[in-house]
Amino acid sequence: MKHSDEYTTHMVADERAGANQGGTITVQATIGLPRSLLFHKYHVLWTSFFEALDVKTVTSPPSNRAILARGIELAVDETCVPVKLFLGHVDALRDKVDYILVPRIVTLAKDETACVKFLGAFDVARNSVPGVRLLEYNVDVANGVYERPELCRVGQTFERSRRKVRRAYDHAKAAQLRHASALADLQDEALERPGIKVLVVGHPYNLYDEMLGKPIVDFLGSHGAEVLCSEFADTAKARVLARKVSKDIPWTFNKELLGSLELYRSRVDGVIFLVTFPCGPDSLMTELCMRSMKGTPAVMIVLDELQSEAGLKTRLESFVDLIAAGKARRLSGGDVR
Amino acid sequence: MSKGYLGVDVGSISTKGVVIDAGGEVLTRSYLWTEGNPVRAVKRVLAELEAQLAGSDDIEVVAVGTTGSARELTGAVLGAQVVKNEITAHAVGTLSRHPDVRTIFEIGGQDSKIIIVRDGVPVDYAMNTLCAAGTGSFLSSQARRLDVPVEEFGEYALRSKRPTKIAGRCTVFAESDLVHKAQIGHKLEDIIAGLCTAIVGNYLNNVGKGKEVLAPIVFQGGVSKNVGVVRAFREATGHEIFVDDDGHLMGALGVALVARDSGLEAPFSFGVRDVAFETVGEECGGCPNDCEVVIVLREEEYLDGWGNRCPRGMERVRTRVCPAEALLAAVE
Repeated sequence: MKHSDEYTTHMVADERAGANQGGTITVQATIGLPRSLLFHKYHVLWTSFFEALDVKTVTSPPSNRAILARGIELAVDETCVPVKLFLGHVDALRDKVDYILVPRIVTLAKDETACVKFLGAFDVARNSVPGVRLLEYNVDVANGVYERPELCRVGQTFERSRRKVRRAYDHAKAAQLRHASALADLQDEALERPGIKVLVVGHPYNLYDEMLGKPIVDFLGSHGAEVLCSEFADTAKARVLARKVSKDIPWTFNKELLGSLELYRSRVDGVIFLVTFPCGPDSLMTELCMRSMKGTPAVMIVLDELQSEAGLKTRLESFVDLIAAGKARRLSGGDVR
Repeated sequence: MSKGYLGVDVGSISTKGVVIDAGGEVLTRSYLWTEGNPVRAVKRVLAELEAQLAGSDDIEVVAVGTTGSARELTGAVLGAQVVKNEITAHAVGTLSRHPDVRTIFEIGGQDSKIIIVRDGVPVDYAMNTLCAAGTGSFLSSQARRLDVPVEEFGEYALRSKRPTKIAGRCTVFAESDLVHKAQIGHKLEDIIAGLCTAIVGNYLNNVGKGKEVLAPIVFQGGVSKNVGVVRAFREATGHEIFVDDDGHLMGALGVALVARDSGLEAPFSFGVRDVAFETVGEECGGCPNDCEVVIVLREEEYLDGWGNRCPRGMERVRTRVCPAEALLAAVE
């Protein structure tokens, strides 16, 4: 069994690291990847990129109570739970690595924006976690700042050859895309299986976090539901479909979530909206989605840092019971609606 | 000797128990306050049920179901075959009495829910989230403040001709508004009627938000005993509101039915009420998660436990709580 406070390390062969004479910086440097926020979206890109550059990465352990408690201590009260967890993760890596990678994502498409926490994560971490050394890269597509040159700039800190760095990026990006399409395929397969299918709509940093969504996703799975995650949906398809509901959603990630709901809604038996307190974009978007559900059972679960589990199990259990009963009824020929 | 099925619903405020026969008829019923001690409340319910059964034919309880917020604990104590969440239990119980119901309103001591039923199958539900505004405990605290027995709240409300407008969004605001309305001279019954209207408005706008409320409507839970709230619901929805005399027992009835239909049977003795149960809650301390593990002891021996995220947590706490048992295991 995997111990919960285990750090995941991506090692590189020692002799190769040592052979890289005259590199721009210490070749032995290790890079910390906080297991929070965008890690859940970009972990394949980041780990394969640094692996290709022979740079060791260390990922913080899955969220636990100590990480959350430290994050709450470091963060301003009003920030959302994911940001508090993020700061906890940065702190957990602080003494274990030389640098911690935190991107500054401003825009990923024209006329759209990322949630402010992705704009601010770097600066918030720099100012909130004492003594932390960070590596940043910026993405602001609307203003001509792209991921490839920016991540390559980070890569050049460790590898002088531009060509090598670019190759590492292209290799990593391809790995990320392969990973995403494999997940989308798995999900399509899951849709074909019989059983009860529940779509969980939520940001990956909520869905996969050990202290937030993961127990919920596991609980649903252990109660016989086939769990589909909005995140695995084909992003390109989702973005097109989102326009059907609303043409001017400014938040890139929310737009993708909305689109995934459109993509899957007719093929699932129920939808769970997983949001963390007090997320602004989510509170607006979930309301919009709930109003458009038209008959598909849906429930909204709001998670907060207080970890109060009262009622949570009741909600999930009864939700699964309810859609199972509805499905049995539909299969036996009766029309529920 | 005929078969009986026991259903127990342990809520935050009250504990309910029924024994039904194979046909689903309620043979005995018990309803009393939980008073913050679910195990003691369940034992008292068992005593009441057994006393009522003593007079009738020989009934042998062959399956037990538990529901309500203390369902896990009660399930362990009673050795229940079925432990079910209260939403499913309420839906099953209500449908057995009102097969044509399409909307179930339920307001209990600490939570309120709405269950949407279509063609005899629950298809959607909602539960109050962070806020307990407009639930039974709010009503009883206001009753205490106004010095009116909560049981008479409804009659007071019915006497009112001009219900006072009360801000019902939040208990804190509602309470200050209540005080204010009393201070500027509104009548007690008008204020109480206003409170009932506010609770209904709050319920329909929060719990019932976005749900299609179709008749027939059944209203249950402790607050359904308040005729003032029933009237306010009738006025707000424009439909007749059915309140079953056994409305407060629907969870217990439902879970007894689920136990009956589970096909699982095991001998059950009412003597369990004389057995000493103890619960111990401890933080594991094995990893940064520090799970709060609860262990139930039966006559000082481990019976059941929960709250651990991993199996090691249970091991650790169990060894600390029952050292003798661990010693025995080590010897073996």
